[in-house]
Amino acid sequence: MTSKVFLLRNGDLAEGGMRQVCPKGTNKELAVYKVDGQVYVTDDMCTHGMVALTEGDLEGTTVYCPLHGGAFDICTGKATEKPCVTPLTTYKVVIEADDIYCMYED
Amino acid sequence: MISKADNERLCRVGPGTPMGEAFRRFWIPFLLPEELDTPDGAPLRVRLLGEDLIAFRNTNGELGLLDRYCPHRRVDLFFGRNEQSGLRCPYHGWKFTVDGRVVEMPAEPESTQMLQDTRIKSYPIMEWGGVIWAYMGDPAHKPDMPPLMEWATVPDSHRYITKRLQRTNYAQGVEGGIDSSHVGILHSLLDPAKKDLPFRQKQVSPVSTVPWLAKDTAPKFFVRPAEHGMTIGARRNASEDSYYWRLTQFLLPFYTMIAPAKENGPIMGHAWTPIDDNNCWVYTMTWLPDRPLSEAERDLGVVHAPFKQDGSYEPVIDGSTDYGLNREIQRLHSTTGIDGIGMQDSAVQESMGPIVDRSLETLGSGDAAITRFRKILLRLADEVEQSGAAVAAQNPYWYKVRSAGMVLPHDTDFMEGAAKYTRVD
Repeated sequence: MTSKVFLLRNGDLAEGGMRQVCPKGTNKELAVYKVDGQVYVTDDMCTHGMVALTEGDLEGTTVYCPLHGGAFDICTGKATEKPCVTPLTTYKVVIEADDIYCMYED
Repeated sequence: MISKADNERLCRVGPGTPMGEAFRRFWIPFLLPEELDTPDGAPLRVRLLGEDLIAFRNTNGELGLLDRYCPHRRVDLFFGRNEQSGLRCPYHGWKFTVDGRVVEMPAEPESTQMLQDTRIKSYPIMEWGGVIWAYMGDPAHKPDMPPLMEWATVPDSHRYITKRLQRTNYAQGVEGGIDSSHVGILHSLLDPAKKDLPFRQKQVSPVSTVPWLAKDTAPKFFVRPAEHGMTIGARRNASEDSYYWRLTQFLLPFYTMIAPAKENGPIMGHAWTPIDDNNCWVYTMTWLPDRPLSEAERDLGVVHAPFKQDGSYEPVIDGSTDYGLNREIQRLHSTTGIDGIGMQDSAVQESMGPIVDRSLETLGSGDAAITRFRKILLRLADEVEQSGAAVAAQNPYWYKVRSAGMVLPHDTDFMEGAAKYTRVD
């Protein structure tokens, strides 16, 4: 069942930044990014080394994993640099006033 | 892994290096009071951040930290006379005060201008919080006080502090201290009756004074930035709707605090003060916030490793005997065959070499805190290089935190939920 889950307030996320959020009612860590005013959400775990991508570096819409330098496109979830190969799950973002949500499937 | 260039930047702490300049913005602990407790006592040779210095306590009880070598002809002032409020070089009798002035030059004409013009390098030094600190940086940036870590602010009877020599760069020491994933393996005991079983099955579960540690042996780790450095949260299942969190604090530039092993028990912390690029002092602090430590509580985990009583603070057992490694004990009773948590840590860390080549590593999912630590330190070096200041050094109140273990409901962000347990008033 897909439902809207609250992540954080727009004001809590800096432009060009990313934050890990563990949404209420889920057992998941999600990464929330803001690039050029647009918000993106993916799983916050590299599909290769299984660490939080929010520990890495965000350059434009590419997030680099801190462990081995692999990377993903945060818009599509596609792996763009080896050793990452398996794509990242992305989530549809919903913004209502100052609140950022994503559509999350249980 | 980090590049060779970043590794050099992380590890080199001598004068003029980026990290060396960054560390010099902080008051750093380097002596125990017992090493310099006698006015007019013998001067003490010191090596700190790659600089050779001499420390002494003068007639009035004031501490001095000067260049090791006389500015005249470069004699080692260890051979000097500490008397009548100064340190006198034995060669030509030049006499120095604790603040680096030259007050006598017996072989020069009495009214020589050289007395006003000549100085010996001197650094501010203070005894506070159970240790002796030095500030080796630009005087314009000297913080009013050292970081207000809890072990320093509690009464003397509430704490126990030791130091020992480790023959590695400081960074390997800190990385061992923040790496939670080694604890259940390196320091593990084994059941000899299960000697033929696979490694993981013959491990003895630690006698748990904290119930949740035994029940959930695969904690999940979260790393969060903090003003003082970072907080590492280890999350274990507690009940249907709660987690048990154990927090470790990393504080700039080289301190850790570990959650108590027992509910309301003593808290433990470390500092890895660089002697030079290849050696550091490992300080171990045990403390209680609100009552004196008992004798038994001083070292519950055998972390304070035995050291020589000759003033060298060298560990009694070291690499020259492979840390006392006993293969029979390793075969049956413990992962390492080496006695004591402190020695086990020193063994693996020293075995990497004095400066490990981080460009040759292959890191894994358990290394998130180590990855963050390197970033934080490299960013500290950047900050000082670009702005001249280290903001954390200027904010001693940011260090009023402690590590703790606590149960929090599932939906609570651990940094928010832990705040009331980790804040020191």
